[in-house]
This record gives sequence, C-alpha cells and structure tokens, in this order.
Amino acid sequence: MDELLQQVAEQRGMPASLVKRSAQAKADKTGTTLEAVLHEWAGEDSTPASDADSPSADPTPDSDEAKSEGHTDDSVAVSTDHLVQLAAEAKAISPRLILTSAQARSDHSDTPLDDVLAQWAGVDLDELRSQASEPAPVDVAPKEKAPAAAPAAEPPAAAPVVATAAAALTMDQLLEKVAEVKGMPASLAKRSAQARSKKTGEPVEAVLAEWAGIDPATAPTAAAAAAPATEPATAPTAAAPAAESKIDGDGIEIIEAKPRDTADTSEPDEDLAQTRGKYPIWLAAAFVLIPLLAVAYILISPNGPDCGSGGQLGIDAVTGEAVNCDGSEYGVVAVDNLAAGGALYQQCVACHSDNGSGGVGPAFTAGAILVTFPAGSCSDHIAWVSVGTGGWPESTYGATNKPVGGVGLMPAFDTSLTEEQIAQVALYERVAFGGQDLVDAEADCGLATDEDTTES
Amino acid sequence: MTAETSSQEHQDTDTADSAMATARIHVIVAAIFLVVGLIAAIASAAQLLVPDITSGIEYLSYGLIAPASRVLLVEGWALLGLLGLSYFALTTITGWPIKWKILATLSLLLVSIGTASGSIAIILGLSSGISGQESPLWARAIVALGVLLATLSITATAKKKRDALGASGWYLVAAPILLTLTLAVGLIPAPTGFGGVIIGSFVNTGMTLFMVTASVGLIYFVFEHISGADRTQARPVSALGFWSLILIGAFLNGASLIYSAAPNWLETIAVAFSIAAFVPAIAIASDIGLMLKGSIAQIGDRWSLRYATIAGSALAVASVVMFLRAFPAASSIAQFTSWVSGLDVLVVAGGASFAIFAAHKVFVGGNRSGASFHFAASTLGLVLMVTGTLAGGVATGFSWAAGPTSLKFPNWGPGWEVTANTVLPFAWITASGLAVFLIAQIAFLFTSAASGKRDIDATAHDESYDLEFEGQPKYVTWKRLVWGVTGVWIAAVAFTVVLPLVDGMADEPTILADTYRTYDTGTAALAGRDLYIAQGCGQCHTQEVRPVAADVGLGPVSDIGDYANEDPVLVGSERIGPDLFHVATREGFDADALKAHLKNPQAARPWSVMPSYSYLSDAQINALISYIETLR
Repeated sequence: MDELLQQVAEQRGMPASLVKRSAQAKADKTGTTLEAVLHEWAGEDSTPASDADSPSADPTPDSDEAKSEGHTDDSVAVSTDHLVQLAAEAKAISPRLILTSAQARSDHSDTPLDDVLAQWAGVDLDELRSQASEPAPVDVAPKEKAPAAAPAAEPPAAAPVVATAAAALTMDQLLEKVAEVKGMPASLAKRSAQARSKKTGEPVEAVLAEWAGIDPATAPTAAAAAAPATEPATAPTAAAPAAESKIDGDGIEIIEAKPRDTADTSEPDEDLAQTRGKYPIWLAAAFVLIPLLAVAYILISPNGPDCGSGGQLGIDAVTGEAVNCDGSEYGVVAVDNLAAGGALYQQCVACHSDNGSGGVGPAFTAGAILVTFPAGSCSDHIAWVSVGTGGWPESTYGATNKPVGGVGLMPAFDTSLTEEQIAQVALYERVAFGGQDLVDAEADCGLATDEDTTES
Repeated sequence: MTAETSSQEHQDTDTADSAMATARIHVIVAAIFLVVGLIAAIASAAQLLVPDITSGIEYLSYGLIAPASRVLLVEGWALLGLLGLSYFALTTITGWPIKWKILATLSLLLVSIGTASGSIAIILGLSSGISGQESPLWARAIVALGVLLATLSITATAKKKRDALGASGWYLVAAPILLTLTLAVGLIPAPTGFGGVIIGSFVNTGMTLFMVTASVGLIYFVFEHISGADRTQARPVSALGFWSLILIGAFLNGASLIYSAAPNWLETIAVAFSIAAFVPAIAIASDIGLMLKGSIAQIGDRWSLRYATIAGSALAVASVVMFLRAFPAASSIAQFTSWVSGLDVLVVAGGASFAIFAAHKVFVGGNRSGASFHFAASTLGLVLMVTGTLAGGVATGFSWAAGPTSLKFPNWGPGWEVTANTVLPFAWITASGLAVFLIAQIAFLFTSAASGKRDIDATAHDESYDLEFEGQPKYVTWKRLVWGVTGVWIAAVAFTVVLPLVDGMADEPTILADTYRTYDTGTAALAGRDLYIAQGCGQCHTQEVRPVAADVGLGPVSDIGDYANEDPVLVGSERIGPDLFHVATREGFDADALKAHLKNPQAARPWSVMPSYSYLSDAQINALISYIETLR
C-alpha cells in the first residue's frame, strides 16, 4: 500500500498524503477500495468490484460526436482521450498516430472507436466504464465547477490567461479535430492549412475551422468551453496555473492527474515544407539543356555521323572496304614525293642553282634534264646522282653520252641520301625543271603510291 | 467486437510474417544462384588467363560457361533478388499483405526452374545463339511466365495504395511491368536476317532497364526508410526522375548497334536518347539528395546507407558508360571490347547487387556481425571488376585502332597478339575482382544468422496518407503509372523494333549472302553452323565489319543484306578473338591450319587464349570447317 502510494505520488508529483486523501475520497464516492483507486491511478489494470452508480452514461459515446459538439457528456465516464493515452502507452506510439489509426480501423471494421482503443490498450472497456462515475481527472470537472474552484480553463476566471489559452487551445484543438475528421496527422493538416491560408489570405484558424466543420465565428468560444475536456495533450499549456487541484461539486478536492507528457511535441517540419519548392536553379537548367543537346544531335546527324566525324570511314563502292573519306586507302600514309624532293634539292643549288639553270653543273631547265635522262630512264638518273663522277663505271653517261668528269665533279649521294630520297630529288628535277608528268615520273622513278604496304 | 479486432491484429502479424517469408525465400534462392553464377564466371575468366586450365574438357570451355554464368547471375540472382525484396518493400509501404501470394510463390518456382534449366542447357550445347539471350526458347518462356506472375502479384499488392505509393513504389511497380512486356517480345520468333539482332538487342536493353529501375526503387525505399523521410511529400523532381527514366530508358535500343548493319537513323535515336539519359541520372541523384538533406548524420542504419550509396554510384557511372558506348566517337574505340562486360558489371554487380544488399539489410534489421567485411570485400571486388573491364576495354580499343592506322599489324592472325597482350593484365584484375566478390558472398552466407529484431512495424496500416489534401499534387497516379509505362513501352517497340525491322526487310540479300551464306538443310555447312552456335564460338568471335579504323583490313564492311539468309544472325557482342566475317578470304587461310588451330590453338599461337576443341569428333571438326569456309 505504501509502495503504491509512493508510486502514485511520484507519478503525479504530489505529496503522498494528498494522494491518500484524494484516493480515499474517490473510493468512498465510488464505493471501491482505496487500493483499487490507487491501482488505477498507478496505471495498472484494475479489477474493481464496481457497482458504482455511475451517472447515467451513454455506454458507447461516439467520440466524434462528443468532440464536435464541444461537450463532454458527464455521463461519458471514460473519455476517449484517456483510452488514447492508455493505448499510446501500450503500443509505444504517439497518441496522434494512435488516434488516426484507431479511427481508420474503426471505420474499416465498423467497431466503435473506444472499443478499438480499449482493445489496443489491453483494458476492458466495460470495467473501466463501470468505475466511471467519478470525474475522470482531465475530463469533466471544469465545466460544472464554474463557481466553486479556480479551474484555469474557466472562461470567467482568468480572462487574459484564458483568452490566450483559449486561442492556443483553439489552434491545437482545431488541429486535432481536423486530423480526426480528415483522417490525417495533425502536422500535415497544419502544413496544408498554412498553404491554403497563404493562398487565399484567410487566417489559418479559419481554414482549420472550416475543415473541421466548425463555424469559425463560434469556434473560439465553443472551443474554449470544450477545450479542457478534449485536450489532455494541450491542457498543460492552458491549465498550467491551476492544474494541480480542483474541487468538485461535493467539495472534495480532486487531484488532477498531472498530465503525462505525451503531448505531441513533434512539430511539423517547417524546414522540409520550405525546401520543397527550392530546387537549385542551375541544376534545373540541366534538365532543359540536356534534352536540347539530344535534339541538336538528331538535327545535326540524322543518319549517323558523317564520314570523318566520330571515327566514321567511307565505304569503297567497288570493294566494299572501309576507306578514307576521299576514297584513298586507309592507313597508307600519302607521302608528297615532290615536296620532299624539292626540299632535298637545296643541296644541289650550289652547282645547279635553285631554278635549275645550272652553274658549275649542267642546267636542267627547258627540258634539258630530260634530254640527258629521257622519260623511262629515271633509274639512270638515280644511278648518276648516287655514284657521281667517282663511281660511274663508264666514261660517258646519259642518252646524249655526256663525258664523265667534264666541267666539274658530280658528287656521290648514296652515302648521304637514301635511295628513296635520291628518287625524290630526281622526281623533283624531272617534274619541276624537265616538265615530265608527275604521275609518269613517279612511276618512272619507282615512287608509285599504290603499293600495298600493309603486309605484316 | 473484441474478438474481431484481435483477429485483425492476428492477421496483421500473419501478414507481416508471410510477406517476410516470401521475401526471405526469394533472397535465399537468389543467393544460391549468385554463388553458383560467380563460380561459373570465375571459371570462365580463369580460362582467359590460363587457357590450359580446362584444355580439352568438353563442358568447361569458355563458350559454354560464360553465357551460363550470365544467365545465372542476371535471371537468377539479380531478377529474383530484386523481385523478392520488391515484395518486402511494397508490403511495408502499403501496409497490406501480398496480394495473390500463391502467384508470388509460383513465380519464384518458375523463374528458378527456367534459369537453372536454361543455364544447364547452354552448357549441354543447346544455346540459342542470340547474344545476351543464349538460354533456349523454352527456358526463356518459363522465366517470362514466372515474371508475369510476379508482376501480377506485385501490381495487385501496390494497388492498395494506389495514388499514394511514393517514389519507391513507382519504380518497383514499373520495373516488373517493363520486364514482362520485354521478355514477351524476346519470345517472338524473329524474322530471318538482321532483324533478329535488333530484337535481341531490345530485349537486352529492356533487361538492363528493368535492373536499373528496380534497383532505383529499392534504393529509394532504403533511403526513405532509414531516414524516416515523408514518403508522401511530392517533390516534382522525383516525378521528373521517374518519368524521364522510363521514357528515355525504353528508347535505348540501338545503343549497342552503333556502326552495325542496323539502319543509321536507329543509331542516331539511340545516341540522342543516351545523351538524354543524363536527365534521370541527375534528377534521381538530386532528388535523393533533397530527401536526405540535413539528415544523413542522424541516420542510424549506416550499413544500409553505405550499400545504397554504392548502388547509386554504380548506376550513375553506368549512365556515363552507356552514353560513351553509344556515342560514335567513343563507340568506334570501345565497341566489342570488354567495355561491354563493364556495363553489365556496373548494372548487375554494382547497381542490382548492392541495392539487394541494402534492402536486405533493412529487411533483417538488427546488427549483423560480418557486415563490415561483406561490404568492404564486395565493394573492393566491384571496383576491381569495373576497373579491369572498363580500363581494359579502352586499352584494347586503342590498340585495335592503332594497328591498321600505323600499318604495324592487322587485327587478325598473328597481329592479334598485340591485342591479347594488351588485355591480359586487365583480365587479371577483373578475375581477381570476381574472386574477391565471390569470397565476400560466401563469407556472408556463412556468418549471417538471420538474427536481429526487425525494425519494421508492418502492422501499422496508416491509411491516413491516402487522402488528398491541399498542397500535395499527385504527379504519379496509379492510372498514369500503369498505363503510362505500358504506353511508353509500346511506343518504344514500335519505333525501335518494328520500324527498323520493316526498314531492314526492304533490303535484298546481297550476292555474298546468296552465294555463300545460305545454309540449306542437310549440308555440312549447316551442321557446322549449329556446332558454332552450340559451342558458343560467338562468345569470343564477332561477325561484323564496321567502317571504323579498328576494322580496316578485315574485309568489306558488313551490309545488312549479307545476313539476310541467316537465322539466328551471329553478330556476337565481344571480340576476345578476331572477327570472322570474312575469315575465309584472308591471306593464308588454310583448312588444315584451321583444323590444327581448333585442336590446339596454342601450338601456332602461344599467346592465344582460345580453348582447345580436341574433344570434338573429326566429323564435327570437318563440319565446322565447312561452315567457316562459307565466311568469305
């Protein structure tokens, strides 16, 4: 017993003597034992032998009805809120969720809300009800105790406090109502109401009232009257000053249950609601740019990349093989023999001058070179340049039998130039100075470009 | 009344348990396929490193084991794992039990049978010859039926929440719908000629799209769950991500057909859509970022967070790889290299596997010993595989392009040695990655006890979210979801399959096709071709010459009419060995030399990784030679 007293005293934050006194009063009034009352207050399941003459109570109060009317019937001995508390504790879920889930379940399965809650709380509803005649702690008292005590929620009692309290109560109570009526969590309701109010310019309370089905004009007063009865969660804020004790009509001091701190403290996430609209603009730009790029690609190359771009090669019409875009064979490096020869010719300028008009050595111009080494004898031409005066086996060279070792000495270039390079110089001389056709000269001098050099 | 409510609760517990049981059995079967598939994959990878390992053993040659492992990993592991955890995720999201649970069980049975029998059939030589769809038709039909049943069950379960599914639900519902429709297309007998390649490519693309979509769905689910984010908060960018993924992903057929004989306009569409594919990648990534904004540090379940992050990263890299594969400049280098396998690795081993790991972690809850080793080893294995395949592919591609350009070597015959040597170190990296990944999974299976309290309360049917209210636009309603996905898919089939088929059918067979590539019944050439298909020669050898630098010297560029008389067309997808389209007209082609090569490839070419086909009878070898001689 003492233990029990201590427990209740601790739970409620009041001296054990007070607890005992109140519990005794309650027990006398309801005809149960002190232990039973203490047990109940301690939150355990109770099995009171209750035969109490409960004030005639509507056995299955419809909590919706009760709430929306703004009345808590005297006769509703076991309040829905109490059940919500118990169920919330039993399931370890917040009361807000419990309420909406229970509402949903009750709609779905056609059972009364209180039954669902009781089921979840693991209590026997009938038994609870049968002890019910005493004012449930948070429930009935203030409304009927108008003259007697100083319940903070009483409108005449503490006007300024109540005015603000009523306003605060209104909002939260409205939220609860809306949450119930619409079947959604209160935080979402608040967020949506704020959105609507921003859009239409009406105050948030009005929006909520409209949704809750309350006439906005009467909402504040009706709410204030009913507030304490239906708002255990917010009662602390409103009734804080005098939450500790009330006197009921029989003059018995009723210790208010110190509301358990099950208030819905989870604020709707304002931040999250704010970020919803904020998407980085530069990132959103990507969603426009990228499809534009895709469209641009289609417009630029509707039938695949053109030859030369994206690695695409041409296809030879005859052989079907992949070739360069200009039709030439892929991979064969086209050497410009003429230009190479021209560059190499600089070594010959000293004796033959840079326009081929000769000097120490014979002139090439005006076809002279082709007189000495006619078309078809480029190999002789190359041989002469290669071995020069010193290496020439005969005493004359060329078609016109020029004497070897005439005016000057023709140096040998086979040690300083490769065969190909000598051929290129010869080509240059024959084409640039002799006027031979390039293609013929190339063939003549062994520099044909259609050699298959892809052998491995 | 009391009895009713209590039986309701009892049913809730049953609901939760039965959903868990279904998911669990899916994951267990999937895990078995994973281990077997990885072992097969390692066996095939090992042959590319040390060909002597399985020299001459009939059922272990690369051409048989490699496609079998792919079937096991894609249809067994990824498909079953993703589906199984979809059930779990959807029952958690909706709070309702699996609808038509018998279908879910039946689907598991069918998919398992189809996958197992398909992979065994491949090893026994019953391959279909279609790249990526090597499973025989009947096995694929069984799998498709299984997927259909799963889709019915998943869709019916999700329908309970209808318009209030949230982002994860959209993806998880869309994915099986897409897959069912895609697999159905794959069962349609393809017309003779190149059209079969287009259809096969469409099915492969659809399979990839399924894995990406389902993985994204699971990733969303995991992030939503571990961060406690409000699932109903309608962010426009999440709807953008969803619709763009479906719309763009469906039209990617042709991305693997760049420079092929397929119509050029199809390739252009594929490239354009591959460019656009960055939109869903960015949208999804930023949406998840927004969802987690500010709350990452508070997330308790760090392991799910890590797995899901790796999964998302792998998919992000995959979108880049897909783009590069399609873009012609890059494709001319990377096509037919191991880059192709790299994409598979990213999607299957990266995206799908890690999404399954993450959702599975949420599924079992609690603290598991061994999670850190599994995560570290799996991630390391993934990174190694990705590096080996992608880097190896690039190196190989540049080597191929360099050969003909520099006139130093052609990409066939002795010239292939350069390629073989280039690929080898990367093949080692890939194989070691596979081994590490396998070790991680085996270790996980041994150390994991299904312990840990589940932190999902599947009994809370929170129907409060179902109702519309101010400020919450519905971007993805149920009707839009189902009919939109189906409609997009139908349009995709019309534009990227039917239209190219019709276009291609106008092409007449070329002289080459009519002269050499007609395989009449009873001829040795046909028998040889059947053997070519059965032995999986197409796993290493392609038959397509492209108008790009790397293919110079391989002969005339392939024309669509060249394939007109063939069914199935054996274009292939990867060149581990040289292209064979014009092999019989190459210099030095000799039937006897080829015979010797088949029996002992390493004799004439010590660097070759080709398996030995000495287990084939002389008659079979001769038939094969007859077939190859038609490849002029």
